[in-house]
Amino acid sequence: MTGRSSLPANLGRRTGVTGGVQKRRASAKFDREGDFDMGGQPPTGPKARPISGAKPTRATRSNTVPNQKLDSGPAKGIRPVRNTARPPPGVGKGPRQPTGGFIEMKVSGWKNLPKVNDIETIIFLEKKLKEKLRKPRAVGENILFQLPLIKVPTALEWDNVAFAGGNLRIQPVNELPVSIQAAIKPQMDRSEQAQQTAVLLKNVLISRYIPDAKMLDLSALATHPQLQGSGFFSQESTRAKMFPALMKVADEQFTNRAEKREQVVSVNLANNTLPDITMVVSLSTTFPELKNLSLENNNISTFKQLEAWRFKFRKLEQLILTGNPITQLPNYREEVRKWWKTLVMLDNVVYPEPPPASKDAKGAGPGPFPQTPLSIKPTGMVDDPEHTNNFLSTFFPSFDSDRKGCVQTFYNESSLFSISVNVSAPRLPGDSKHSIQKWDAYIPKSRNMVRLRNPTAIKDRCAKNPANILKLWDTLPRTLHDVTDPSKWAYDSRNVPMGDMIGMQMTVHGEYEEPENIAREGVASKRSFSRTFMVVPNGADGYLIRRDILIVRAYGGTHAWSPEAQAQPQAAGPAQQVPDNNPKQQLIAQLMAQTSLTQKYAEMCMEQTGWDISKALQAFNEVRNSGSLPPDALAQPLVS
Amino acid sequence: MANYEAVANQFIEFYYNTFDTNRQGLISLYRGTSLLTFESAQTQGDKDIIEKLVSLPFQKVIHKVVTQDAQPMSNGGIVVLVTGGLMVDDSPAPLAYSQIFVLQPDGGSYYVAHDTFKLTYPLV
Repeated sequence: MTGRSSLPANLGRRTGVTGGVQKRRASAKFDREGDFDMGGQPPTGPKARPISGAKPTRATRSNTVPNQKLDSGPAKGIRPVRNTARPPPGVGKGPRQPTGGFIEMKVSGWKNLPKVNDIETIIFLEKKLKEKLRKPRAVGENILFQLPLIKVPTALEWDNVAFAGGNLRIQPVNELPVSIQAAIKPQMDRSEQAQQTAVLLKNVLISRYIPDAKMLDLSALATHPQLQGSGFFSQESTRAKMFPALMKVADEQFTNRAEKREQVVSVNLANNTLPDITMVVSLSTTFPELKNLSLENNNISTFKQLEAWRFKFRKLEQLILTGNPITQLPNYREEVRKWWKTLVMLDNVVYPEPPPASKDAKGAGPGPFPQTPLSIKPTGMVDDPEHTNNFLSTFFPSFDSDRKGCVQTFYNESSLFSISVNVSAPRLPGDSKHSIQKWDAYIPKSRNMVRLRNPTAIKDRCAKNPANILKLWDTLPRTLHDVTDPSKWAYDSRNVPMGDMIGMQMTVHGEYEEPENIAREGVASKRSFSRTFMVVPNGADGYLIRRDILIVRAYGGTHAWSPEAQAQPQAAGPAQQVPDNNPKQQLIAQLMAQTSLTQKYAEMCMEQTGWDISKALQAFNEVRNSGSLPPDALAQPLVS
Repeated sequence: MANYEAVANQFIEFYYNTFDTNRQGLISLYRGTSLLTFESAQTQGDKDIIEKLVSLPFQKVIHKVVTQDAQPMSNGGIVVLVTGGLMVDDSPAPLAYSQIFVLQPDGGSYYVAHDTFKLTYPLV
């Protein structure tokens, strides 16, 4: 997982009530030129309303309430689930609107717009402000209306908003009270707000954790008084973000996986009106070893809506889906058991036969591809090693040996593939054997948009659907990827939502041979490549490649990521005499990039660890963790 | 999103220009949910990502983009694969790199949802 410090920024962004469609700011870089607005929308932090709406005094309420009502529903549910702590009836049913008086506002600039009248202007504003205007009325040039005090800062951000060919001015009729003026200029510090939100979510978690049962009761979250006050449920977009944020906070309460496993055995997600698991999908990353899960009384109707959890929760023993339409599907119980093979009980009914003794015994496994590549070489994050391995170790041999079968297995009608060639990438010097720089077979298909400017060619060279992809592949030399040698590979794989599924976004760096070249030229030419895949699950064990971008370049070896690359024999001699393109310099650069050490310290570190990058990194971490890293060892951040 | 190629081109140009002249300025391209994989280091969130990029231990840097290819995604995003060379400080030899961006639309503009950077230089 990423660092904890990312939380505030994350939450701050997500809770922005009107953040989604903000008026563009002046900092847009390309606005004046035309349509490109890359930097134009610095996201806003949360507004004052959600925070102030939460009553801090409730922070410990649920912990102390003695008269927790037992779940009054029918007697079902995994045992801990019954012990549901509910907020007292009536709480949270109150109006969301914060109190605090109203301010008279005026809108001008609409009167002389040819195509609109006051009504349309009011409708437009209500949409933008996400607020029903109170007592709106046209008076001369102005539309007057009343706005809750607390909404005024938000409303003023829309001042000068473009509308029907003109711009609307939104202003207060009278001078604003001092209190609100302060809120407009220096909006509350974002990190402070984010912290408040984090505290809020933490309180929610604490109030919903039942230590005896080791259960996190996240049922009926919308009725949680603190969350209601927070504004999370005021609209669908913020609601969708609450759960990932909550999971993030949950994650921070534990230092390791074992602790999570020990302390949270069950999670109850009953009564959340979930149409699918998109909103709560991160539960499986936060608590991968959960044993009991209840989704009772939600609105899940198909297996597809559960897809993202299909390969997750590998230790799940009890699942409750009662009260969801999915339970009406034919073969429902059998299907569920197929998806979570460890299940002992579904909807409080025990499966007659026990789960398979060991999941490891099943299947041929992920083939010859390295099982634990991360321990072999430094690559980035691999979210799902099992499936990443499985995919890579089945895809590349298939691509090498049977492209037709490969395209039918892994691609569908909307899949895209394109290839480009980097003919000027540095090659491995002194490697006359593989240093073949013939690109004739690749150039006609190369979709390098730096060089290619013809829009038709750009379009044509992106192959869509299996037939076209195969046609393109047929023009490329045959390949041989060695999936048995982990040192030749480096890759990242992130789990990301793709449509209604969780897919893998993979980047692979490696090499291949062109065996046909042996016959022609007597040597096996080698190429290096980088390839990006967007992959989603396909059926029981399959994968579907939605996007596939390949870049081929001269063979450059694997030293950029290989920890064995270090030990150069002629290590003697002062560093100054070593030319810049010496491997040592490369290693130093690599260490500097990964640690932020200064050149001097990076070199010292490399020397002391025998020019072994992995040892150097280890040594660096040890020294840093022990707190004995000299203050001048790290490069100062560049102040610009 | 009519012309993803143009968006990709403009993005790449803007990104590396900004990177090479004012790394701090890249912050507007990331969001709180953005993920950066720089070599083997993971960073999430615009603030942390910029902190990481700004703290990279070189003063001067020039990116030379050699190839770039892009594909549209079904959710409106764009995936861009770039290779090129990185000229760091006064080192004469560029370091080869590959970089993958996943851009996502956000209210008329795009932001970087994923950014994966990898050095791919050969041993010389």
